[in-house]
Amino acid sequence: MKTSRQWWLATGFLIVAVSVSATPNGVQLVDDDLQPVADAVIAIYGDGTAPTATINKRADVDQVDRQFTPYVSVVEAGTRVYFPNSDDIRHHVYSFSPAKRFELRLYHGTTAEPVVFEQAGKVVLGCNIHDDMIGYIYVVDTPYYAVTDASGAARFVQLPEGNLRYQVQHPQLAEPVVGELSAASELKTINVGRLLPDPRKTKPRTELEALFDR
Amino acid sequence: MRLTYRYKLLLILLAMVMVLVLAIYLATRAVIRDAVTQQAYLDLERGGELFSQLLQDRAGQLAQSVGVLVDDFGFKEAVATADRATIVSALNNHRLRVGADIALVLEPNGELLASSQVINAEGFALLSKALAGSNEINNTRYAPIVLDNRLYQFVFAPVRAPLTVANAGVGFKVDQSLADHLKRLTDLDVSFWRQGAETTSYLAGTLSDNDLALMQSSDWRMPDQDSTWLADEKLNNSVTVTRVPQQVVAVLQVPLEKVMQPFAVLDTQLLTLTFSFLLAAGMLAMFMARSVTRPVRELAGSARKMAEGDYASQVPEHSADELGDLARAFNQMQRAIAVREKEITYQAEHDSLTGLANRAQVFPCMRVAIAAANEQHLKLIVAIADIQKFTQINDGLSSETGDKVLAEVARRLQAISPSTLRLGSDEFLLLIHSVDPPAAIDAIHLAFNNNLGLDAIDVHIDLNVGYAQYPDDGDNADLLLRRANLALSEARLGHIKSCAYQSGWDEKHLRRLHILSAYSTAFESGQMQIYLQPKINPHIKQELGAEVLIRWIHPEMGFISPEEFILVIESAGQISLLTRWVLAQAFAAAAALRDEGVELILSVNLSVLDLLEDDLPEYINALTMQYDLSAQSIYLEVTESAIMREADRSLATLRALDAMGFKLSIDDYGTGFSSLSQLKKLPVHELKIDKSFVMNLDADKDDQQIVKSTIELGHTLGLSITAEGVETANTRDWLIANGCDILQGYFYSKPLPLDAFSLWAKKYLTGDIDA
Repeated sequence: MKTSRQWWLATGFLIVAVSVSATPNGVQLVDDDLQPVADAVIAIYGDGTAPTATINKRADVDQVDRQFTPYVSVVEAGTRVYFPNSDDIRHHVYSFSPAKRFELRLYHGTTAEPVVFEQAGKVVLGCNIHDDMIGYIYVVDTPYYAVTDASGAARFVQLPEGNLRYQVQHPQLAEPVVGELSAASELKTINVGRLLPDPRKTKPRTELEALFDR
Repeated sequence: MRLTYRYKLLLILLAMVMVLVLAIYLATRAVIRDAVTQQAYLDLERGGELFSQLLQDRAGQLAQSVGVLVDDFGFKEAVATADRATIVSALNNHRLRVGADIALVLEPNGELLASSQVINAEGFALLSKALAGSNEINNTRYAPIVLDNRLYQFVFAPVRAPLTVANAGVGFKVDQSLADHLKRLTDLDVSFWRQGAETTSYLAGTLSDNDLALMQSSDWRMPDQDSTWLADEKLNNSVTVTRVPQQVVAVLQVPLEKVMQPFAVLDTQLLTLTFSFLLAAGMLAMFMARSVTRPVRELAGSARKMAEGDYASQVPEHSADELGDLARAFNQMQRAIAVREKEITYQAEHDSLTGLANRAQVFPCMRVAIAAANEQHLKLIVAIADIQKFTQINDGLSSETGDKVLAEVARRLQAISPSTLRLGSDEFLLLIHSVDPPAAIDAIHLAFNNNLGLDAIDVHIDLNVGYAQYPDDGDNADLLLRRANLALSEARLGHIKSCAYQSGWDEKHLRRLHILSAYSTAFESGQMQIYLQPKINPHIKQELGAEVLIRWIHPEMGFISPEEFILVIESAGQISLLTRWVLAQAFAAAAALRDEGVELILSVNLSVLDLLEDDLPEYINALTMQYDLSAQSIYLEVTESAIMREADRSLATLRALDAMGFKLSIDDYGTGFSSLSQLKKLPVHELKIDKSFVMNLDADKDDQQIVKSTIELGHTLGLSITAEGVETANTRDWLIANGCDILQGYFYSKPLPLDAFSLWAKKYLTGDIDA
């Protein structure tokens, strides 16, 4: 996980680098049971303010131990995403999501071409060889976004002034949770409601076991 | 029907064995049948488990084939991009590849995305229901579903890209060939049934048309739970295939006949065994019954032979058991009875004292002896001997000595004739074959010339022997014996040692018997009559006397002389009856005559045997008083010879009579050798000189001398003298001249019956008769 943390820190620095904002803001996400919600994507939209140009933005979604790392990524539309393969086996990464449909046939290392995500939306990543591998890339059209850590917290270095809207997306939420705030200072805790089962933990049982499930 | 013991035993044994064997047979049969049936049910249940396993295995195989479909990247892409035409073509391709009957894809929300077949709304609802039944929508699932009355095994698998974007389902029809396959594997008839709300419908199976019709016709409902039962000669086992969305049950069947086939074989064997055992038991029982009853029958047969007097048939002593013991005891008994019977027979036929044959053997022995005489043309002497004065020996010495005497006599007689029998106390019968009877009889006496020589006492005995000869004196045993007895009596009476039977004795003897038998009725029937003969006192006419005499005229035998019949009656000891009858008649006659004016001095004869009766004086006295007669006028006459024989014993009676006033007269005086001393002792009043001295008195000087001296002697003793047999006037005159007191005889009158006498007496007393 050290590697994933380093990447997350790197991304954070990038955000800090491109944002001109006041004091950093923190937000806490909980579910109905007031448990922290990790891996949630929060996008903030200012009141009429357009984001800065995002040319040459890039992101990496690695494949480590037959898992997409990070599990959940958020990128601004137009970002070029690389899919390096850190495993010593090949992967066949694909997405049938409407926001971005692509297929990276069997490859090793960093031989795969980067994929540019232009359209905002949810992209579910899969591997044709390893059915258990699943990853999410949320494409947003705002420069203000963050992903909650294991404690359900996210931190924004810079936020727009005035009224703002937020949009929370999560693999275990069927629809995005949205809301409006009169000031960035109000962004404290967001309750996302009830979560669906974690798709990673829904391990398919053997067929024979399944036969008894009637 | 009368059952022999053997059959009873046989029946009881057989019945017991039969009950036992049948009980064992039935129990064993029941147990085996139960076990077989139970085993059949177990097999059926195991078949059910196998069946379920097979179905599940097939489902597993089907699931893998579905997995192949949903793992196909192209298919995933087609589904993810909702490319219906591609999906349908892929479904058909896959369906044909795996041999499925239906292939379809459902969206996660249950909408039908694509299908290889047209599925109506009802079928689609069922599919949705089957799929919605589980929360685990991302897993492979199995669901048997009935579509269009056909059972399909459906397997659903999620199409993941990588999230589940749809569910692909593949349905495999459960048809005849699958059922046949299952039948081959389980060896059970398989049928699939769907339980509707109202009806139970047949889906598929291996049932024949008949069986199917039978099941459909019966009001058959699927059991709620898996179970086994027996119906229509079949064992059934229901196995639930599914409950949702529809209830489907598989019924596994096996015919009872097939189940029971091993049992039938076993049953046949058991039955054969049972009957074999029964047969063996029957034969054994018969053998046992025989072994028990045969000795019993042998015993019974032997007992019957014993009853017929055959003691020689021994019962076979087969065995050492109780029956053998019985047979031995039986044989012992038989021998003991034979010995004892011999002893008893010997004792019955022989005299224990002398060892001679006894009286019972007389006739058998005589028959043998007569037959022998006939054969050898010999005379047979039938001799009866008795021992003279044996009573004196017995009384004088001792009865033991008497026994010894008898034994010795028997021994000596037997030496003379082996055919010697003991008839009674001292009487022996000898049967001697001889040509010279007198010599043979002499030989008997000769044997007793020597004294008997018994221990200390030396006894001499003589025998009286009477004998008759065969065939001269009789041709049968009865006659010969009787005649020999008569001869013996004669010998005894005559005091002679030997007496042969003389012809006529037997007739005389028979006449005596005849007289004796006629005697008792002679009084009442008037055959007996008293006659009176006058006794004349020549000096005093009025002292008329009469001697009462008796006449018996028998209707057949005619006149029977008093001398003859009185002797017979005396010997039979019945004289008293006659005497008393005569006394009563005489006294009555005297009383009657007295009434007519004839006073009579009555003379009545008494037997010496009468004088031995103590009550006689009293009887006569009573009669005297009854007829109002004087004892003085009653003379009781007793013959001299008789009174001399029994003088001592009759003395008391004579004295009693004398005391009563009766007069005693000695009749037939001069024939009895009486002594004067004896005469002197007796209370005698009269002597009647025997007529043998009187009849020839005219001519015979000796008689005159005897009569004269007798008269003198009598007068000397104070006795009245009467002369009997006075037949002539000369005799009368002589007697009167010589002092005879009373005269009696034909000169005066013969004995007369009462009425004639009465006439005569009246004439005499009136002097009409010259006396």
